[in-house]
Amino acid sequence: QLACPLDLGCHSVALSALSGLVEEMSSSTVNHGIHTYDIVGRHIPTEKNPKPQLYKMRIFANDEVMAKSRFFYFLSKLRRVKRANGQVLSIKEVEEKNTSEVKNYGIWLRYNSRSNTTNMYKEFRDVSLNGAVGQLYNQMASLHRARFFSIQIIKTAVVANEEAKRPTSTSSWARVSSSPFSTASSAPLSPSSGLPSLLAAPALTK
Amino acid sequence: SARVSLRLSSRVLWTLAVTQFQRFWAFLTSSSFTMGFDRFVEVGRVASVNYGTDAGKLVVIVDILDSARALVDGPTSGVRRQIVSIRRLNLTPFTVSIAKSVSSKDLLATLNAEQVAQKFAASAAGQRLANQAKRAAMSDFDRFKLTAARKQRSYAVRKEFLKLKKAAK
Repeated sequence: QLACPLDLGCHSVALSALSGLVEEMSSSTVNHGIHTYDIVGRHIPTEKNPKPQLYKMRIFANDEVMAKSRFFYFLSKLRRVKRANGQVLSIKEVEEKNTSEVKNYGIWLRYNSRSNTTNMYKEFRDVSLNGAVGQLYNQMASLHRARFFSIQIIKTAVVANEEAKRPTSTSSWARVSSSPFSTASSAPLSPSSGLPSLLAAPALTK
Repeated sequence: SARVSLRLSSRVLWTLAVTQFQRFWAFLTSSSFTMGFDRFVEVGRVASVNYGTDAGKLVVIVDILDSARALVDGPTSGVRRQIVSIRRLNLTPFTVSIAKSVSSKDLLATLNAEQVAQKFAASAAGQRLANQAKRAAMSDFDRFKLTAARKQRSYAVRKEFLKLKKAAK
């Protein structure tokens, strides 16, 4: 239902495409533009090896061009394949199955700092893996000045609230129960449970 | 002995202080410690969006991401389930009893059963939104009619006021 503000005689197909784009933009509110791609590639077939081994990778990138680039970056580190002698057979975007539930995503990564490379484990609360990885790249850029190309995502997983390790995933809003609303369980930003340790074991010096 | 010993041991004093603090701590962590706040960002809170393409529409907070963002759904007002900054929400005094992972369909049924949209439209905030929408949709003729009505009202008020003023002398 996008009304063409300027009466240029917009073709209806273009209008519907435009409205689809606007809808897409408004629904992916804080996605940071990351998409997940499943890329399958191999060494190009040669006389010696007419049926080279296929390799599949799941890559996080903003678009297919970046995704293919990362694919060859990783593959050449793992196998004797480089872009010059390799080919991408299939690149498909992987969509999030359920974007109506908030999940805790645990992400294991390694990144190049200015002096060395370190491993990290970070958790993000989001509705989709793309959103969580987008948050990750933004956070790494802001906290560690790490650029996109310095970060390698090793593993991602959905983490249950009970097994989550970071404050954002374990605080009161994450622990809100699935049962219907009750004031006690969903009191926001309440002090964390447990008395101060000072009271637990009073040490008296007489 | 007739004389009550007033010199309590430090251990007793400590235990008294601890129990007092435990009671205070229980109060601090209880749901009645709201510091005067009465509308919370919680699952089931009805809110109106105050910025963006969906401004003015009613939504329900379905889940909370962190202290700044919430997952929000507005089936009665055509707002798709999406993540929204909490700063873009005006909380209403209404809440709905829903589970965290409720589907849009079930949420719509609950909202219709509790007549949330109607309750909000009848509330002060809802009427304010409706009046704002009316004013924004006024034509020049409507604005003329409004000015004329305000002049008539102020004329009637002034007439009455001068009568009373004269009577008070």
